[in-house]
Amino acid sequence: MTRRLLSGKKEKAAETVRRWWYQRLSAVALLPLTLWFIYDMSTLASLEYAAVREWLAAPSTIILFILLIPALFYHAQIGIEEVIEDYIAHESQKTAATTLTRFLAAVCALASIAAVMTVTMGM
Amino acid sequence: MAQFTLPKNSKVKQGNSFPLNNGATRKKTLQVYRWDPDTGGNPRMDSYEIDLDKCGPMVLDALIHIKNDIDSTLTFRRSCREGICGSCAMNIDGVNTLACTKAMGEIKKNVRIYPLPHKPVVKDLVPDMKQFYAQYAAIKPWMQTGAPAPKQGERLQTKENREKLDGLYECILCACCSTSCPSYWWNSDRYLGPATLLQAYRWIIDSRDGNTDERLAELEDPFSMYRCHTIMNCTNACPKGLNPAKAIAEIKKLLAAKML
Repeated sequence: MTRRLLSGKKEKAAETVRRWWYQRLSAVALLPLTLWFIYDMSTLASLEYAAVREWLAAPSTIILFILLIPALFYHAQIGIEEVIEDYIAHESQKTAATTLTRFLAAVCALASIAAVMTVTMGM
Repeated sequence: MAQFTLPKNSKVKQGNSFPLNNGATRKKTLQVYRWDPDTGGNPRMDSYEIDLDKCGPMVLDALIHIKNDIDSTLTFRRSCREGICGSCAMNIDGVNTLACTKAMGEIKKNVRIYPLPHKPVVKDLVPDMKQFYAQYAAIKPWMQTGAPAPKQGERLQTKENREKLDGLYECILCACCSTSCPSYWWNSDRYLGPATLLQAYRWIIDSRDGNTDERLAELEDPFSMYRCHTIMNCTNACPKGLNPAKAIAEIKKLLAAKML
């Protein structure tokens, strides 16, 4: 803890560069993943529940979802945190808003994974 | 929180009108922002009708004509009148540019002139540039090198290395780019802005400078540079046709490469 406080500024600096890089990486990953998601979703509309479950249970679908869900919510989280950094100058308000954003992103990601698993396993 | 409402006395009101009554055939109306710190109160837009046959083609020619012949109280900065000093930067027809290189013929309707946006106004079209210059000074815009000076002549660089400074050294620090940047409007206390960052890159990329790592480290925090979201207003505004957004992107690439 003491070390973190002492090197606080430097750590934040390194984190800034890393986040900028992850934002780009997740954006590039989301390009094909989103196209796949939209295309497959559009073909599902006319199918029965059983057929959709079969599609969702296919290993390729699960792998793509495991890539899509974290990339999507992490990208959204970074984006919203940037907006907070831009517009909220008050430090404690900024920390509260950032913490809430991270919490919501984690909850949404976990809920999405749980939803996929529930349908796949027929629970 | 960012302030979204205007501070007191910010609403611009309609001001005085100076019509032309001499039967001129080629006329143009200039609407100019006026604010006088001595009388205080709200700013106003004064309207001047001018005879285009009696003044030069540029907006600065018209402003000088107004000051000389119509209303001597109008205050603005100007010096070289050829786009090299950066003094007459102002917001003309909704775009930050130099009054001396902006032709009135390019503007179809009335010419609306405001001071550079989001800077405190000293008087009329004169903005307070103190912070802008302090930010420029903060990046240490001079050559820093541990190497001893050559016994005779200058510090040399190859033709290729010299070419890396093209598109950077031409910046005249007129502040058209920085004052067009929304990120700079919201966070100019901590975000350096496009003009200063372009200058920072000018020294980072200079082969003769020895402090590249320190210069990069100074820009690593969340605010100094990373408030840039590639909005590109800077590049659109630059009256010298430079690309500050690209310079900032190059710095980001260098920092990412350093991290990897």
